[in-house]
Amino acid sequence: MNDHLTGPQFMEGDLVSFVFDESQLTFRAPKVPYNTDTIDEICRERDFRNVDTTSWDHFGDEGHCSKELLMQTWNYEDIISHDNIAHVVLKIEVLKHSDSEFANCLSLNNLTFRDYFLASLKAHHANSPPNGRVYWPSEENNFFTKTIPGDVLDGLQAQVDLGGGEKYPAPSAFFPLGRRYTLRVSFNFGSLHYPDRKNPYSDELLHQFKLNLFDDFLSHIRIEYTPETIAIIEKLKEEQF
Amino acid sequence: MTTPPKPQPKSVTHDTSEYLFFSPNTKGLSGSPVKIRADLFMDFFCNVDPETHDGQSVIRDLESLKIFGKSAGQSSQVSVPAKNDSASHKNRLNRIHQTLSVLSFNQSTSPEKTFATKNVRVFYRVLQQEGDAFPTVYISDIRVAREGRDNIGGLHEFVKTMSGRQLAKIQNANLDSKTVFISGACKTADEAMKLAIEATNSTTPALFFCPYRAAEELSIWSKRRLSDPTKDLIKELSDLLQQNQRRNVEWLVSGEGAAVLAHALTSVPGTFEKHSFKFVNARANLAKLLQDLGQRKAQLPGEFLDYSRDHTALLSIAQNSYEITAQLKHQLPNKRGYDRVSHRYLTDYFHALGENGNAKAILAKAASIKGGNATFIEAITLSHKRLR
Repeated sequence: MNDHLTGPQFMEGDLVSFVFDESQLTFRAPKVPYNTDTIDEICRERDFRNVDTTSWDHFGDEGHCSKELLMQTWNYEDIISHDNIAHVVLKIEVLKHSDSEFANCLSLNNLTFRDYFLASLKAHHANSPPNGRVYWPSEENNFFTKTIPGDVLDGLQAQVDLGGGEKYPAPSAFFPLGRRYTLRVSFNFGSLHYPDRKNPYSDELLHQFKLNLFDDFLSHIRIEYTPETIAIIEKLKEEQF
Repeated sequence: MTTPPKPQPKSVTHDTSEYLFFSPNTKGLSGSPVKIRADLFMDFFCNVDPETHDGQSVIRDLESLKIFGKSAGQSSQVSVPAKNDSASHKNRLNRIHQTLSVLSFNQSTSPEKTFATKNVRVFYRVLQQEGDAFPTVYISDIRVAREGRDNIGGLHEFVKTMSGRQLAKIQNANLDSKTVFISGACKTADEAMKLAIEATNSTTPALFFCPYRAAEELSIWSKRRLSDPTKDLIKELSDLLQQNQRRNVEWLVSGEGAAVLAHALTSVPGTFEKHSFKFVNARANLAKLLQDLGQRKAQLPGEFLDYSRDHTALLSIAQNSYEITAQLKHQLPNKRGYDRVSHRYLTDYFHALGENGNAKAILAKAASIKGGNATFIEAITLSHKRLR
C-alpha cells in the first residue's frame, strides 16, 4: 500500500528532543508534504525541567493538564491520480499527572501504568458502545491494548474513539516520562470521500494501513530515564516481587 | 338573533385548484384518487429523489394511500349524474349538492390522518370535494423525517481526558476568539464535528450542531410550527450571540444552520461589530439574512458566501436572486483593499448562480404546476433531470 500512496517517510523525519525532570524524549518529526491546508506545529520550548504548568491546558478536577509538543496534519495522495485518499492528524502531547498519582509512582511500574490507562479508557468509552462493530474499542476487547516493550519501562498502545466522526478508532500510545509526566501520541486518520468517484481504498484497508504507519512512527521514539529514576524503577520492581 | 360564523376547515382548502393528482397511478383508475397540495412541490423536490431506490420506495408507499379512500362504487351515482335538464332533476341535484356540501364540511373538520413511510410522514384526509367523482385522498402536508432527527443540538466541543478527547455538549458560553461552525442538518454531533474540522481547518473547533429536526421545521419553502426542541436550539444560539456580543467570534455557517441563525438573530437586539460571518450553501432566505447582518454592522469579510453544488442552496439563491444581488451590490458597506476585488467577484458569481436557467425552470415549474396536465410526480421527475 505504501507504494501506491505518497506521504512522509517517518525514518526520514527530523530528530527532535525534549528534556523532562526524569527523562529525555527523542522522536522523529515527520517532514510534512506540501498539501493544501496542512498544519505543521512543533513546540518551541524543549526543556521542561521544573517547568511552570499554569499556562498548560487544564482539564478534569484532579489537577491534570497537558501540553502539545507536536501537531501535524497532511493528506495521503494516490501516486497516480493525485486524489487525496486520507487526512491524517498526528498529535504528540505531554500529560501531567496529579500529585497523588505522582506520589504513588504509578507511571514507574508497568502494571500500575497499564491499569491506570485501562481504567481511563473504560471511563472514556462509557458513552461510546461498539453497537455491533467488532473493530470498535471496548472493555471486552481490552481496547485493543498491546504492550510496547521498552528497555526500562514499557509503553502502552490502544485504540481510542476521538470523537471526530471517523468510522474507525484512532490508535494512541502512552509512554511514561517519569513520575510526573506521560507522553501521549495519537494518530487520527480519516478516509476522504469523493461523492462522484469510487474510492479504490476501502475503509478496512486504510485502517490497517494506519495501524502499520503508527507502529512505524512509534518505532522511532526513544526515552532515556535519569539514573535516579532508574533506581526508583528498580526499587519498585524489587518491592513487587 | 345572529347566526354563528361558519367555522372554516383547518388544513384542506376547498379550492380544488390547489391540489393535483399525485402520480399517474393515483388518478382513480384503480382505488381512490390521491391528490397533493401543489405548494408542497419544492419541499418534496428537495427531499425525495425519484431516481434513487429510497425515493422510489417513498413514492410507491404514498401511491398506496389510494386504498385508504372509500370504494368508488358507493357514490359514483351521486357524483356523476346523467345529463338531465328537467326542473325536478335540478331540484333534486341542488338538494344533493347541499347534502354533499355539509358532508364534505364535516369531513374536512375531522382529525387529519397521518401515514408514515420510509422517511416521510404525510398528513391526509379523505374527502369528496366539488368536482371529485369519487372520495379522494388529499395530502395536505409532508414531513421528511431522518434518522437522528431527535438528537440534541447545540454547542459542542472536545473535552479532554487522560485517554484522549471526547465530544460533549458544553455549557461554557465564552466564545472569545473562537471559530464556531454552525452545522447544516446532520445525523449526529460526531458527523457534524467531522465537517467542522474540515471546514475550519482546526482540530478543535467549536461546533453548534443542528439535528435533522431543525432542518425539517425551518424549511425555506414553507412555514411550519416549531417544536420545543427546535425552539430550544434557536434560544441557545440567541443566548450565545447575546452573551458574546462584545467578544470576537468568527462564525462559519453551513446549510440549514443559516436558518437557525436567522431565527436566533430576531431575538437579539443590538449590533455585532466584533462578529464575522461566512456562509457555505446557506439554506435560508439569504437576502433577508444579509440585510439583517449588514444593518447590525456584522463583519462580512472577503468571499463570505460560498456554494458547492448543493441543489437546495442553489434553488434558494435562484428564488431570491434579485434581492441577493441588490444586497451585495448596494446595501452592504463598501469594502476596502483586496476585499473590494473579492466582493466584486462574489457579486458576479452569485448573480450568475441566481440566474441559473435550470434552477429558474424548476422554480417556474413549482409555480405553474397547478394548472398543468402533468401529475405531481411527473413534474418532480422532469425537474430532477434538469439538475443532473
